[in-house]
Amino acid sequence: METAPTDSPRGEKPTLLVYGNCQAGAVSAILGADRALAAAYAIHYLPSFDDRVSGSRNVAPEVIARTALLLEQFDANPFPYRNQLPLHCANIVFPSVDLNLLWPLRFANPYNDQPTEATPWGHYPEGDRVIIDCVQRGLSADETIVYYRTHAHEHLPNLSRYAEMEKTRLRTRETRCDITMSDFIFSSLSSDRLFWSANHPTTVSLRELCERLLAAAAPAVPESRLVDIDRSLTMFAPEGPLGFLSVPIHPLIVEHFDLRWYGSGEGRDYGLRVEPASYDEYFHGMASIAIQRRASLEALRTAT
Amino acid sequence: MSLAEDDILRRVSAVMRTTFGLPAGYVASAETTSADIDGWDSLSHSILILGIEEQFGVELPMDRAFELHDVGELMELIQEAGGGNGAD
Repeated sequence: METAPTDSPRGEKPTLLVYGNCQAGAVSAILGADRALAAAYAIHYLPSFDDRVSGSRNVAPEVIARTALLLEQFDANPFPYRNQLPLHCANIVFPSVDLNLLWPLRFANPYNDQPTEATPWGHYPEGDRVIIDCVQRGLSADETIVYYRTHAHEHLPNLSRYAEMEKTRLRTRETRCDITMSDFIFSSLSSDRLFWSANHPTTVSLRELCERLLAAAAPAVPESRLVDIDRSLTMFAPEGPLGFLSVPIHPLIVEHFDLRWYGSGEGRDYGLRVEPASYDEYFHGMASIAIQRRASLEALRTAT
Repeated sequence: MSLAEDDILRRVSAVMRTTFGLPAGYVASAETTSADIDGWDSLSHSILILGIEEQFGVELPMDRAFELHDVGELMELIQEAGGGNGAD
């Protein structure tokens, strides 16, 4: 890997570009919080999706043209400006850090509430198959919780088989990447909280991801050896840049995977509560919003 | 499409309806891809495969299960694994 120039001919800082989903945004923010790296590089985040929070999918051509290092998340939407990158640009492809294993009932929520400025993804972007089924069957929020408490386990898959499947999914994806994370994820799952939700890693995972990225980048970006990730992480709230949504985990899954870090009050939806909610409170809130939303959609359908 | 393939598609569609919350009458085609289905992402793909395994009483080769491009390839994988011969 060729060492990148530290300055362009006009004296502007070279670009360190991070491309990908919200995790890439978090990586960009963490790296940008490091004084040495921020002094040497203009650090930019380019979302691979319609990011209602972090902004534009456009980066000025001159910024792309100064890119010394592209940290590119492997994504169904490939980096769109590859032909504008300079020849000396180093490119490190990294995997999304996600794991559905702890939330097998995760489901696209058709009855999430409308986005607002305070809750750009609604309160419950992560739905739950059993909750939504109850709502569609016309159960009240109270009835839904009673059903959930007594029947949700019947909808869980074979967890051992599912674990093997998730390992394979991550490893298959990593064959296209320059760094791995699945080894870390599966060796730390029981001892450390790695995820708030299926695709929102905690600071523990983000720290590991940043360390691996910086190690891989070191030949091209010598400053990466000086980065103090722990100090950068102190710039964020304790739950880290992606901790605004915390989805409770079913007790049988906690037991099966021996999640020793898991407490009882583990739900935190997007802005409804400041304090973590209990397992029941979290899903009651999801059901309540879904019931209202479904009624609104039905009324709209009837009116038209 | 043969009767056996028609039956496989019908049962695959049933699993897809459950997995992705699709309408009761939804039926996939061999050309259906993840881009056609809201909520069919890399994370939910594992759940779909588990549902398929349960529906057909087979274990699919995992490495190939994550390289599928459309429902037609999934149907081929089910047949190769010995699925599609039994009742629902």
